[in-house]
Amino acid sequence: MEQEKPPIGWMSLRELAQRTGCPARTIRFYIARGLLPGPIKAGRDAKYGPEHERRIREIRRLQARGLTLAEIAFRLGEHSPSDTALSATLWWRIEVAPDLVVHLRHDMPPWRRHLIDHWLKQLQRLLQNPQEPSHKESNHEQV
Amino acid sequence: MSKSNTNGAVTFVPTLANTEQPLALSLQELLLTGRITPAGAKLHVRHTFRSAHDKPVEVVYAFMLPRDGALRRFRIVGKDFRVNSELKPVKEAVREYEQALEQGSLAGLARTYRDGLVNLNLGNLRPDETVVVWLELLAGVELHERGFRFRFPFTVAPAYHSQMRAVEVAPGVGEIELPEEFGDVLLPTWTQDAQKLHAVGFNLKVSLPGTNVEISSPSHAVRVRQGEKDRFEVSLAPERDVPNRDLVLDARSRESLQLVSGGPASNGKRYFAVNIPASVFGKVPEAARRIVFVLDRSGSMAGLPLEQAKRALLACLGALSEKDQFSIVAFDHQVECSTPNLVLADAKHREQAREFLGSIDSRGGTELAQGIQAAASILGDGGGDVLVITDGQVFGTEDILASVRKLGVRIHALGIGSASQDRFLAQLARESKGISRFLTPRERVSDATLELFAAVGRPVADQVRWQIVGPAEARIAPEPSSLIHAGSTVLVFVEVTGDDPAVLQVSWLSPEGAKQTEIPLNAGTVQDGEIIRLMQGARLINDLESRITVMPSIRETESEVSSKEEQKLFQSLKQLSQEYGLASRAMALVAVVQRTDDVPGQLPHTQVVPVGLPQDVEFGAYFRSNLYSFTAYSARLIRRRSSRAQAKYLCSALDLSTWDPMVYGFPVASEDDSDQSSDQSSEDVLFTLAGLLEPDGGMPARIIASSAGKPVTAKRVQLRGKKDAEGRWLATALALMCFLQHGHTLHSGQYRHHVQRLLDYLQNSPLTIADSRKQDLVARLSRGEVPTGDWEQLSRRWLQGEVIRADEFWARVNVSQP
Repeated sequence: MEQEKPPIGWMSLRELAQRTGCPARTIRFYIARGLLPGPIKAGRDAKYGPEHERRIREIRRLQARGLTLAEIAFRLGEHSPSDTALSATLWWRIEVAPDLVVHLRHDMPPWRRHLIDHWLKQLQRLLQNPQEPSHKESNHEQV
Repeated sequence: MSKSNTNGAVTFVPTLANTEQPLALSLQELLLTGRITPAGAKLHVRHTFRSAHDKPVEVVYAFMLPRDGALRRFRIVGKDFRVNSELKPVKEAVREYEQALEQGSLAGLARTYRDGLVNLNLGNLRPDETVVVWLELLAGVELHERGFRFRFPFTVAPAYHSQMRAVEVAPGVGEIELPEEFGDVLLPTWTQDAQKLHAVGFNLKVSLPGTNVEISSPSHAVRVRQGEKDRFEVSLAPERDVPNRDLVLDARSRESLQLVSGGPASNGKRYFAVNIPASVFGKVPEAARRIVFVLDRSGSMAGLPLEQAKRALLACLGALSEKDQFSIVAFDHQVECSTPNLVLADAKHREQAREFLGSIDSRGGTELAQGIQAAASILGDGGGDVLVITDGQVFGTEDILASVRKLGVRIHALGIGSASQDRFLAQLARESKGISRFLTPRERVSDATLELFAAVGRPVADQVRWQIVGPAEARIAPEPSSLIHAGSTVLVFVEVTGDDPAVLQVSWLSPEGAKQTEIPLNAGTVQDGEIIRLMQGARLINDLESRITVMPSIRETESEVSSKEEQKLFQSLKQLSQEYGLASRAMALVAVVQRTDDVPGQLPHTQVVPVGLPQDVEFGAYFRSNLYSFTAYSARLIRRRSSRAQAKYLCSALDLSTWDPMVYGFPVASEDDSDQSSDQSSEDVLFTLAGLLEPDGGMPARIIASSAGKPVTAKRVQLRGKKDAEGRWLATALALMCFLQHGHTLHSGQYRHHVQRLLDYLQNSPLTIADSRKQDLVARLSRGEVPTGDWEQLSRRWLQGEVIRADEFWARVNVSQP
């Protein structure tokens, strides 16, 4: 029986690895980490599409800029529809100033929380002493 | 990521980052077995994998090779199968592994990367299936005059690289990613709490000829049973342990022995390992030294390791003679020097050095090459020695070795850390004809430091020549050092073709003149020729790999490496691997298990085995971003002209307007870090006293403790009133009595040089000549007689800053008069 031809642009894991220069094990690792979707067609003759190729190139580009896989997963996930839209979410309520409240998701990764905490402190300091130059500005002067 | 137990305390439970489901550990247990000898170790590691996933998994276990380590083979054992690995060029091995995974077969791949990192992959482990992988490897040992130290990494140390990316992905869970030049290596996930991870254990046979052999471990509770003759069986005393530190085993005998082991090997040749202790070559000459101490103050040294390193350095300062010249370099990503040139170890410069050390705290990255470079420029054309004190936690060690090679200075290394980087430090020292020691942060630093320091700058033999006499064809490889240092043992590997009697002839220059010795190569009853052959191969592979700074490409359409020079090196490496049957960066081990019910095309879930953060490494040093220090760190780096490449990298990464923490700096250690030491032991008191010796051999007059009530550390004490001759005399006598009372005499104990200097000071002091009471006491002390009394307690009071009055001192001495 003649095999049905796969749509144009579909490729095997080996071909995807060849095209992107990304080793097959690394591609499997990305899929396991949620950075890439699984194959378009699973099973005996698993296939991957142009979207996989585009994403791998994007991941590599962001890595070269110094982002970690955790950060890249966060960034790439920003525009995808949330699969927890109907589930309840806990939020931290942080009062930055008497007239300013910020809500943070409770389950955000620690690296992101450290970063946001830092900038909230900067904001708080700036709101208390508007004349004081911010930490960021002083560092830019040093640079 | 974390959950509360019944007491309300938060405990760590590994979870998947995206779903928060409990992490199903695929590596259940790791058991180390094998035999350790003074020539090296042949080890078998049993990895028990069991999948709790509902689909096939690919498990990646990342580990660090021990010093002079190389993989020989592995065997995959399951319910109905048993398959041995084959050694193949990396590209071929990877292709075979990938094809097997496509076919749905179970496959194993062991591949070596830079820095001795290994990824052991087991693909297509089925749900609820248990598979055991027995991995056989060779390892070297750290040789001492009277025995050896063996280390095996049960975890991987997180390490520094200027372009690494580190992140805390879940509370107490960190990840590090390396730039592309490191290939597709996967590093483990580090967890602060290793209790929930796989179990580790060991059951080893240790051989060391000699009398009164002692086997001990500063890292684990061990059970030791003596077997036949010089053989011991060493196992973990508790039922199980966790993967958060190296196994460290010490084997020591009472005497230093010259050993020959070996015999015929599988290829028909004979292989011998000859251990020659430094005492064979002669005594340590008394000569003025030129030395630069290089202290690692990077963030990863925060806490106990830095405290230990400083204590070690203070002890070395105390052991310097007035004729010695020295300087101190402290480095992180910046370099600071105590003095721009070498200075005489006189009172003024020692005090300056102590003040300099007092100001050192932990911070920043580990730019080791820059520290050594600074030391080399301080030494200038006059030559000398560099003593590096570091945890060695760096990635890209081949690059560091390449830059250090160009400097041509002699480097000795004192490593401090609970996870192994001694592979790198051993290479660093060996390549520059120096020596190295590697300690755990929790053991006493005094013995090893002073032993190492006594050997530095005073080789017992120079221009050593090695040759084999007898057989028509024989070779010594690798080439042993032409410089021998006290306290060490040289290991020489010899390969002999044919059955003619062979003799190792050694000639050298010592301070007394030219000397020679001959060692017949007759192995004992145990025929270890094949194992010695493999150990020789492992050493040669390690030496060659330390010169290769790239990873071979595994892309089908590309050649392995680009430049002709690299191609040549990789070709040599491949030949070495094939000759000895050992894996390397050019050759990997692969095994495929085809099962009748394999289902092709199923994508396994790739999972990296987590390991424990090494004991005494602070999690925040790597993974907890501190943006204040990050920005300051970046700014400092960018200002430095010598780091243009890094600065460029950081500038491109610095994108504060988008609030992305693209590069993490190392938090500056808090002021409390230096106060982690517990109450001082007797050894600590002796160690502190030793560090306070003045160049003339006497003690300073008075000590003023800056923090009353806190434990005495050499860092905290300040010296006052050094011109008070009477006070100095009393303090010197007190310190001498303290050393003698703890068994350190003119002839024994690691403080014997300090005892000699203290006694010389007292004997030559005008105060002794003018006072008969003092003369009597000095005469008694020179005979090793110590007045009874608690001199340690009085020393502690003195170290705390209390002024010891002369009448109290003499009252105590007189009470004990016979």
